[in-house]
Amino acid sequence: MLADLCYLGDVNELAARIARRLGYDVLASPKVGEAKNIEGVKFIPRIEVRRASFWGAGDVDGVRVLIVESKEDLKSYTRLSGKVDSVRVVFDSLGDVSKDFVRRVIGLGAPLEIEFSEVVKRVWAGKPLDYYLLFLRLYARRKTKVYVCSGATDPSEMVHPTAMFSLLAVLGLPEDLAMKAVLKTPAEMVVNAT
Amino acid sequence: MLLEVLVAVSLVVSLISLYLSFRSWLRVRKVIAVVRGVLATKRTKMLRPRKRYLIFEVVAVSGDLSRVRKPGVEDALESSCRLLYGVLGYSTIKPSLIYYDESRGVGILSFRHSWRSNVFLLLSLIREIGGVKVIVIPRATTGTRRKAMDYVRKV
Repeated sequence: MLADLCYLGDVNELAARIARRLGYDVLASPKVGEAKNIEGVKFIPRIEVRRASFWGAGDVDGVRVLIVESKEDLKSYTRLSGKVDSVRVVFDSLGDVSKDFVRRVIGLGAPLEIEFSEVVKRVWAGKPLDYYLLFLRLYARRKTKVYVCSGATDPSEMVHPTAMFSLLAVLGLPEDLAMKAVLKTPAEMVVNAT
Repeated sequence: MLLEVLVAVSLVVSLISLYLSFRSWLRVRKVIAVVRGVLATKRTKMLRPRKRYLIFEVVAVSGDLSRVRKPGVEDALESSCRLLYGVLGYSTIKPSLIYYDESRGVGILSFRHSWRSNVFLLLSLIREIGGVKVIVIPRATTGTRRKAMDYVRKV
């Protein structure tokens, strides 16, 4: 089962058709309230939660992604453990990353989300990829898990899994781990979330 | 008489020992050559550049696929490659579009084998060709042009 856990575009037949051509079986979208099937592609809810609104969110079906915008967002990581499926770190608003922050990310145990389109945007803009490389190093040392998603806002921005795999390989990750981050980890998360 | 026999025996023994020592020296020389060769492979030998042929498919997301022409695909490949990997990268990867079927949107791209991941990444960054929004999907990689053409016929 091949899954893209961050499709941000409109959920329609065109998106399903393109996803099918690219080989995806499951797309997670924030624009979906409950799981539905369009042209053989399953769309599941993607729930983005922030620390401030987390405790009011209640139990929901779908992939729960914790958005981390500041170091404070991971302060209560022991209580968050098991309640979120993945962590998305917004590096632009985060500033410097300390050892404490890295320790909390590892302690939380949830996989880290890397958005393909965001990495590409940073490359085109000539911005450094230091934080991504840091988390990929942690992943290579088996301290945390990482998965890649497209972050497409339009069907034309969806990417083939081999492109995601290639991005990780170009950034220096061993091929077996890159393959796992694209194929295995998202599939496991979908099974756990639904 | 006994002295002559002893001299002959000692001569034969010395000749045999000379032969054996020469043979063992040849063997040792061969082993040294092999060890040197292995070390040289690890340290100094360069990889021989080999070609790979990537079969890809252009899928039109919005617009007509027939408007995607071969020169447009070549331009998109070249500009993306130059932008992403620079002039040095472009000349090292040496991507060239050797075949493109405009009716089906299937093409063959050749490149240097050690840049496979980079070429996959490059293809995913092509979003528009000739004003048509497209997605380029890599289908297969082969080692020879003939196999690539066979695959294209089957697709």
